[in-house]
Amino acid sequence: MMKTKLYFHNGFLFFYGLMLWLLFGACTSPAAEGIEIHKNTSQPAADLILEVGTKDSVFLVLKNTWGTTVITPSQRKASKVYFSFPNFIKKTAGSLRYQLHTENKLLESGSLNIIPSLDQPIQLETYLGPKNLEAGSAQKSMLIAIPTDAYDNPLPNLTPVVVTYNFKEQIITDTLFTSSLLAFKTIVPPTQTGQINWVAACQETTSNELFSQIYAASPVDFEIAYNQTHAFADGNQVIEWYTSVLKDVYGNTVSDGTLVSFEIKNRLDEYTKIYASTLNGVARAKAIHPEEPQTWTVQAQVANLAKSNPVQVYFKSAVSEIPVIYNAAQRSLKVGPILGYMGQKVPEGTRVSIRLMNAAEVVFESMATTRNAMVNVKFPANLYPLKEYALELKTLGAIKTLKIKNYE
Amino acid sequence: MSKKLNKTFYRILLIVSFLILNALVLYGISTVLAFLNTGADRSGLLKAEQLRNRPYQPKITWDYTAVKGRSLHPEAIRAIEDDYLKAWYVKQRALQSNEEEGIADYFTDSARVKLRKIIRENKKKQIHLVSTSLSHQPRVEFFSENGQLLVFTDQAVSEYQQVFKGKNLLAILEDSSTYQVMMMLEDGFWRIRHMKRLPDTTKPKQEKGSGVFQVKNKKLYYQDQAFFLKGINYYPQKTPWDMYGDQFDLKQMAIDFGKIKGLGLNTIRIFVPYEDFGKEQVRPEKLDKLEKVLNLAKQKQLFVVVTLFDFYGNYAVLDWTHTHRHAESLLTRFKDHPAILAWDVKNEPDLDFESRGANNVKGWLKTTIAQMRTFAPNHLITVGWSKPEAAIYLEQEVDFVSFHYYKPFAQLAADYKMLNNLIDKPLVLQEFGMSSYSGWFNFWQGGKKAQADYHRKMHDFILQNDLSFMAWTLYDFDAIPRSVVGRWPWRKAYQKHFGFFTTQGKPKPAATYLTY
Repeated sequence: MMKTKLYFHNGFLFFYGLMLWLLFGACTSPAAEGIEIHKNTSQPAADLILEVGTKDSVFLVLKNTWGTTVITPSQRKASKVYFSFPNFIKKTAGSLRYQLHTENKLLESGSLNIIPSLDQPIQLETYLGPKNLEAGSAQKSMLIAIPTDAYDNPLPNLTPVVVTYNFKEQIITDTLFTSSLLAFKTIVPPTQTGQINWVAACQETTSNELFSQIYAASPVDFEIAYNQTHAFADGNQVIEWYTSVLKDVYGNTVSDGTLVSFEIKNRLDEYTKIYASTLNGVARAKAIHPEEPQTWTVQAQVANLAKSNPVQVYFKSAVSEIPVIYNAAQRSLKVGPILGYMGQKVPEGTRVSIRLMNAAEVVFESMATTRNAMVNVKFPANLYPLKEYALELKTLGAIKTLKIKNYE
Repeated sequence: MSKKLNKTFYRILLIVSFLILNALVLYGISTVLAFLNTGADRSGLLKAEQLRNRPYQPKITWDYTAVKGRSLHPEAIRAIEDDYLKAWYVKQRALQSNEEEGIADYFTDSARVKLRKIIRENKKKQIHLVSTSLSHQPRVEFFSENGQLLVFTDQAVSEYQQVFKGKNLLAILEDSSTYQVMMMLEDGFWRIRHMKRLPDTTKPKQEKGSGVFQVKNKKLYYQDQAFFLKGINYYPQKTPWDMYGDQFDLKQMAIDFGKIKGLGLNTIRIFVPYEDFGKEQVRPEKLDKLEKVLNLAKQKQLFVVVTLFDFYGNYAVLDWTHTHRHAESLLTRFKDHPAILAWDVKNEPDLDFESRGANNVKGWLKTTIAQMRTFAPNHLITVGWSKPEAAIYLEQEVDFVSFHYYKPFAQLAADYKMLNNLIDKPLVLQEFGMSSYSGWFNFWQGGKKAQADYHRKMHDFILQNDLSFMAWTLYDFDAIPRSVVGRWPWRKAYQKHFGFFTTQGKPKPAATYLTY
């Protein structure tokens, strides 16, 4: 009375699942009678075909993970009706719910389990993250491997995945088993910097090479020193500070580009910050000498992580005397030549502050710049009618005051 | 003199007509401007509005106590939950319309391919699915160290699905299935990468609660004593159909409840309007007012049948989860309130069968009752059907069967007999009554005497059959909102005079037959 049929669908094989036969009794018997369902979970079927015997027109409602569809018999022979499942149903592993209906009656319902295909080469998706790690930190790196069958169905639990990783000279192979759709391996970062290379394999399929990079941890406190050609406050020369090689607690040199800020405190307790990034662990910062003699206190730090010792730099006055000639007839002031610490002319553009005062009142104030170590100023009679003024000149830390008398 | 008057008159006429003309021109211009200003908002360009509010709110309870990998914080779960539910929503929307809109945001490329296949196939076959999920219980199994990959098993997902071919409903699938899901964080969206339906799981049967009201052998029991439900449908005289509004008057209710108790009745039926209470986000102040009413009933030794979802009429499958959240707010708040006899899911839902589809309405009632049972397991649940013919539906789901009766008294005996034979649960005649309206619209037929006559016969019938009942209603009303019976004056006039007491609170002759 019971017959089963197996159909091969157009030359290509499907590797899922189960077969289900619904076999009704003789075509004369009422629909509800004698339905038998056979499920076979152990043996992968070549195709999924339902065989139903009834007189009425029937359709099958199929529900899987992604949605529900309705199929009608592909073939009808005498009392038997054949259903052929569409590809997208056959290719989706998981529980498939079915309902067999006539026009207005639900005849039968149940579910079958479609299992992933293991006959075709499997696919392996791998994810690695975080890819950048700090040496010796608590943050772990994790390699995730998701083996799927050729139709993107995750393989069942306990599928073995082989993970190999290499750090320095060490190569370690580990066999993992999938659970929750994937297999994963975590690694606590070593205390040395370097690169870990990973590869995962499942059966014959291997992944590409993946890398996680171990970077140095936060730097510890360090030293700074400086270079300068002379110690005069000439507003022209450049002073350079440099750090010792910045290292983390494990002795790894910090990554290139670590930002170091140098904080300069001048005589007025004003701060200037200079940023420099490290190269091979050393950061170098440069600044122009001040224009006035003073002491700078410099300290470097890596934002809230590490700092250096404070270092003091003393700058001497670069000019000792300001020569001045005042021509009362032409009312012109000739300053200079201003000479530096070796008797050299001061650089072009050295700033000279000029203040002209009448009693307590400042009537003229200017910042002039030298040309050929000289500055020329005129005080025309129509603008400065008085006969007596006091004059104050300042440059590179030197000060000169004199009285001006006009004869007219 | 008259010439001068005439002149003045013309002047006034001219000025007035000038002013009117100007007003009309201004009105016209403003209408045109107003029209041009309507339409799409510029912010709509960004599509930021889209799905901002949760369009889909099934019950979801996360378990992330045993996670492999990185530990999970509630904030992370919130973001994932948001996208996971939206993934379900867009999937269901896509399967309903057979359009792929929105799924790119919540499914990865490879997952999308699978969804697309079924959508295309269904589109070709003109099949569409109207579906919703009602509850989710995801248990997180794995969270990656970089916080971008999550695997969880969503257990016992309760789903409801209608399968249509064209306009024909082919099948209704109701199941409880488990899904294993892998989600990935890609450019700010948690997207579904893998999803696998695991073999069906049987949903754990909701344990029957141990409330003070029980149902045994077609009878209601209160604290193990047979309970004869004698009740009345209650609205305050001044604010019918607006009991929890600004004119909420607890003092008057106290007087009314005292009056009801004084008549020898033991139960009232009140209504909770769905929109007025705030839909899925129930307003706390409304709940507070309801609680005051329930406390007052308790104080006056009255039990209460609370009718939910009054004036709700959507029933669209994708809207169900919102109504469930509404019920959840109410039922969890009052699940142990001693005054509550039963929750009436909806007043006369069978009247919506025609306009909203009987399957939608029944499906909604069924799923809503199932949800309500989980929120208030100790209370009874019923549905107030508008006529005995409809009361045969959902007998298995409700605790007792409620029906309304407004047909002539003469037919009651036969209808009751029919229903009593079909139903194996206690019957409650939840609404009945007669208007004492006598006037233009019914040629001065009826009147208070006819009403009293009707209630005398009902009184006898109820006593003969030991039938639990709730009469309609305590008072005559001055005004009936249009939403209740429509705008036709004859309907309103009729509806105003169903009371046992006049608008002034004086007993009408029928009130004699309300005492038991």
